[in-house]
Amino acid sequence: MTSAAEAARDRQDSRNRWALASPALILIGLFSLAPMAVVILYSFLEPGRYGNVVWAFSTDAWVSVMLERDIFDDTLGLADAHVAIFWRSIKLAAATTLLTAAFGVPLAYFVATRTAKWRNLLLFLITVPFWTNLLVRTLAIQEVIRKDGLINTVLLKLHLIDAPLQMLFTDFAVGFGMTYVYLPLMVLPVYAAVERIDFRLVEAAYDLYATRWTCLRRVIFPVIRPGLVAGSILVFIPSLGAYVTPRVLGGGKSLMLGNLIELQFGQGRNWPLGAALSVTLLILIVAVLIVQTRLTRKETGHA
Amino acid sequence: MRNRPFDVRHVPGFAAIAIAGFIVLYVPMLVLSAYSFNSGDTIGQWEGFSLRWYFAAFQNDDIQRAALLSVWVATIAGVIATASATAAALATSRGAGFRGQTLVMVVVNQPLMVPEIVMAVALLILFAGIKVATGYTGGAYLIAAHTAFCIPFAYMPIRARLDSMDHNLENAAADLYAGPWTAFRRVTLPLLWPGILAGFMLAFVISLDDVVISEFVKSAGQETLPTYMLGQLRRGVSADVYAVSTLLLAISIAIVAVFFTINKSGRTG
Amino acid sequence: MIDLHQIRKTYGVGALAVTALHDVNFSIAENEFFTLLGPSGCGKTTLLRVIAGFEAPSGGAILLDGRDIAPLPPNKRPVNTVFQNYALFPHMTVAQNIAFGLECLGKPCAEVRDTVERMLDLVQMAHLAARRVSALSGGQQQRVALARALAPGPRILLLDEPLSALDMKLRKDMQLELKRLQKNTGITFIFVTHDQEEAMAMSDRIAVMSNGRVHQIAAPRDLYDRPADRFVGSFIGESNFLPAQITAQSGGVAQVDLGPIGQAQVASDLPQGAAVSALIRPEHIQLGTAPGLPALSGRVETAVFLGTDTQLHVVTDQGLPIMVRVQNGIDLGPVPAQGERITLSLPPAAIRLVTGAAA
Repeated sequence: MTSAAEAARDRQDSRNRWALASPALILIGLFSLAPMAVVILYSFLEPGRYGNVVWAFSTDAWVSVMLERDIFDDTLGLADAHVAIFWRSIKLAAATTLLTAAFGVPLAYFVATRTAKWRNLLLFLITVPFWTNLLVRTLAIQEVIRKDGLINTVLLKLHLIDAPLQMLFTDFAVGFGMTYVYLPLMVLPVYAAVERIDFRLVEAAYDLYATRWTCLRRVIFPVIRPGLVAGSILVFIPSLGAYVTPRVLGGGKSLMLGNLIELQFGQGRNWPLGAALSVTLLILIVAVLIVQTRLTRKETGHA
Repeated sequence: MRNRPFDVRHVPGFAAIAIAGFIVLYVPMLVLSAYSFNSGDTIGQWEGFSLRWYFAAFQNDDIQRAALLSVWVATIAGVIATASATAAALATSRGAGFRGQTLVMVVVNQPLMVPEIVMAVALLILFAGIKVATGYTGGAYLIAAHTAFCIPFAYMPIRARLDSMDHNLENAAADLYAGPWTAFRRVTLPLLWPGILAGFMLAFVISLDDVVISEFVKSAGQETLPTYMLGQLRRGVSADVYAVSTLLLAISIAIVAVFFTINKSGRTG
Repeated sequence: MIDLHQIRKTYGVGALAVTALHDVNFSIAENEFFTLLGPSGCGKTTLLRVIAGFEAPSGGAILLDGRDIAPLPPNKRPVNTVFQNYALFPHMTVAQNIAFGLECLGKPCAEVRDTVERMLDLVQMAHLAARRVSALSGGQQQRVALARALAPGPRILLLDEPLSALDMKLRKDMQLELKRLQKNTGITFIFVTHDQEEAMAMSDRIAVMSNGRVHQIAAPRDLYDRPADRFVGSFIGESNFLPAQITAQSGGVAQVDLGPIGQAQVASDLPQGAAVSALIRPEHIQLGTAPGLPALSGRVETAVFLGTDTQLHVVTDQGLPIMVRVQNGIDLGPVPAQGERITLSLPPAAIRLVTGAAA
């Protein structure tokens, strides 16, 4: 039911759009999608003696993601070290997400409800860390939590502790560090959500005898929620795959998945296992994303 | 004294948490910057103000080389990523949409979905093969890798700017006898410019900040500023690394300031 | 001058297809102020965009001076548009906006300058030539948009609800000014609006549209006095619709059975048995009885004072709601009040038969 002119215009438009998109598609295809495919391929090969791979099909790498063969009786059992690292990664990523939310929501709300002049300044202060090198920020945390760093010095001066606390190279250091570096990722989307709150609705709620708590729960929170979900995803994904922060603040003691993967390409010399662990991490993240879309879809369905 | 007027926006406790948040956010960076001006040799003890670590950093050949490579890679990757992201944003916004539009958007944003470490080992595997096959070990690997993961970052502000632009402006240009190229050059591009600049700055900073992917992709002997710093950390922190960190922090502040100004002028324009 | 021939526009395909325009046909003459009038979503803006070239028609031809322009892109059509939100280029000054079309046409610099000056004078904006358009008021932006679209000297000027963003007072002024501009420049205007008063005040002819169809094309007076169908009758002005049946038809005079009101002879070409209703304007209904006129009695439910008029909502003894407008005046006697019983008479000359049964 379309005329020739209309169809010709559509075809031309579609051709133009594909042509415009092609540079980005080719670059990402070559240097992001293709490497992903190679990782999947490598996870099914045998490790070479000095790194790299031997071109023979094998599922050993996938088996050893979670299991290990007993040296003596050759039976399969849970690989305790791997399981511990998986568990720590998930635990720390979840803790980081919760902590960034606990700080990020009040922070974003506070910034968004200031007058225009203050708001711009505070937003600027939130954005600066976001644009600052992750390594620099991690280094800054290392500086304050080391043995003779700011925190220990202050606590000693206040006589709250007798001896300096060992904070560096613990799970606490990694969790605290990740909360610190990923906080802006939580604040920015929540801020965008708070900015959308129509405070006349809050006035209306108070007018209808709502208490402060009811207002917060039934008027303000539902508007913030999508921003909170987006922020949680933005924080959880890089936390789960974090590499730099656990390496600098966790030392060799508090390893996370990212470090375990790196080990396979360094000292471990087991590229297929590294590849399989990478794909596992990717699957975990896809699972989180699917849960998130389910949750948000349900939410919009209700609205 | 009058009671404070009832403020519907006020939530008890939020202000305190927020102020605490800002303090926690900035104190570590301020402490780090302060120690970079320390005249003493050991980091923990303040011995007086001096710029000696900045001179040391500037005279350090390794730091110079690494800084140069970082800026070089960030510039080229930033330009390529911004150009292709601009084209992709033009392709995916406005109009009735086209067959495959969702696919294009998923592909363009794909690098955001992949954790850095996974991308890093993937590129390591791919490039290791190419390095063996071609014998080439130059900076192109870094540029290629950085370009790919910078595209979605450049795409975001450009796309946002396009979406907030009135499509009728391009219609008006066409209505006033402008051909597609003239309309793009004289109407779309000048209005899109703040978005493109923001996209480039974001891509540039993301590239400059990258540690993980560069660490895995770089060839032997190659160092970007972040990988150099990471390498130094292994041997214990020295104050010249603090000086470099402080400079990077200053650059970030400057870039964000520019970014905010562009955004503000863009909104009124 | 411009002829639309069987213009059709559908969006989507198959079962989901939506038809925005159903085979629209009309011709517009040189130097005419032509208005497309209809409620929102009736297809008037789509039709304008098809003429401008922003959308390709799914079928039909647009003949401009005998040449089909439907396959041409907008930049190859000698028509210019004033957009609803003006779509002024925010990064250019007033003068640069006006010069844009002339520059794209490749006019020599001197001519561009002269024309821009002439246009600035025409819309009385010469003093703001160097101003950024974002620093202008709504009314000023409106003038710049007009000057920009007129500058290249289009064969036809298309105006898409250009006055809708202005406040009432300014709108009235601009209506007169637009009309004056159109007559002075001699350019054909195609004007889109949903405001019937605006359309009536400005147009030589009006096309009334709804649901993608043109219901009637006529001069404002004819549209009001002789609406073609029930939609036009209800959309233009206030009206009462009474159930009616044509019992006989002879040479342009129909014998009509108006049920409780009685019989009447009404000028109409509609055939016997057609589904019709009788339209009568509230101001044509007379109070009291008059010899030879069908009469009704009822009770005033509400009386609304409107300044020059009073609007009476009457319910007849048969339960028929009827709206009546009575002029207020010093020597016109008292106006019936709420609750009062009154008698109404309907002059047959004021009754107009329209297609479509009364609800």
